[in-house]
Amino acid sequence: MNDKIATASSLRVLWQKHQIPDLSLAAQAWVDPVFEDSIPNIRRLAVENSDIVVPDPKAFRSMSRASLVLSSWAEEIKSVLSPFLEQSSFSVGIYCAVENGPIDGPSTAEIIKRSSEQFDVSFAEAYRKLRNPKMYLKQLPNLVPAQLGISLGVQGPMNVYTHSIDGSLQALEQAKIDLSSQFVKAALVVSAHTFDDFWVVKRSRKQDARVLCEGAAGLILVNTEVDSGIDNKNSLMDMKKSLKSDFFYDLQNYFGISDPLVNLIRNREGRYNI
Amino acid sequence: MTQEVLFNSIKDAIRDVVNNQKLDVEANSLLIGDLGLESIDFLDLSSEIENTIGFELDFKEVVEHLKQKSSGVADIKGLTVQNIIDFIETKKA
Repeated sequence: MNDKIATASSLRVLWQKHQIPDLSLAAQAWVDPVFEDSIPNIRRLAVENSDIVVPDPKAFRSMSRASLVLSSWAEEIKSVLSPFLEQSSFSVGIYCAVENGPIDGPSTAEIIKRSSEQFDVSFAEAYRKLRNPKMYLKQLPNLVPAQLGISLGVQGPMNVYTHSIDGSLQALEQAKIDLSSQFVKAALVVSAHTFDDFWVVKRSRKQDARVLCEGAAGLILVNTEVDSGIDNKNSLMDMKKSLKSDFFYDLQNYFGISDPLVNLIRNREGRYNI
Repeated sequence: MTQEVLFNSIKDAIRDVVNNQKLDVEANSLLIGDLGLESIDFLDLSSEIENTIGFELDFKEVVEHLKQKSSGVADIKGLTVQNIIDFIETKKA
């Protein structure tokens, strides 16, 4: 085992993809009619949820926008992972950084309204009547890699990171750890920052003044003897250094939880086999 | 509410729940066997019917009702769209 670790000196990017809005378009505001509030200076992906094609359309109502975006990549990812999955469905791990999915705004507003008086009675009644059960599923961040795992046939470790700033770095680091220890043979690292939940997005807005953009990114990493420029020995603190010049800071746009991964891949575009 | 209106409302609700507007829904379609509903879909369908028809549908109650009528439906796997229509009509009468 130790010998194997010693030989795994570096990581190779087998596949990479990112999806961001057209950054030349003017930023807009997100106005939420339910909560009568708005978030300025944002840019959405140019696709509506209903237009996103996912492997299992039946799961649509249980999936957050982040889940829909990432699941729409499933076929492409599967074609890259198939050599690993043919050997063992446990040989691939998923490392996913997403924020919580959306609460059901209209029903939440209605529940709050109804429960203002006899709180214990009206709240329970309104909660039972108004909550769509699938809304709970949309909220759960772990359903994002779960849906992806089902679509891909991956049964390896499934990891979810929700740290609003470092989530995708944490995902990347855990992938590095699992690859270097030979725990998995391939690591799918994905992240999506989508405008699902008004309050989650509002928090992201407060963290950074740049244009707040939706964005998604993913890469498949494997061990290699060839230096990829991504050192697999360093800790999270050294992550940016270890990726050398691959990370960059976009002065105009901020992709929330996905920002490091989106910018890493934007900067590596076209470079797969190093 | 006529049988036809009720059927169309339930058909729309099922199509919304399974996210397939072209799904072939017939009165004698089995909810699980033909239309592919899963456990979470029953909760979703119940919620959808309550929102559109204003009827609080408990599928367990529907099965119990059919058992008592000796209809041959032993569990939820045997439920058809028509069973739901009949149950709602009985309860609303």
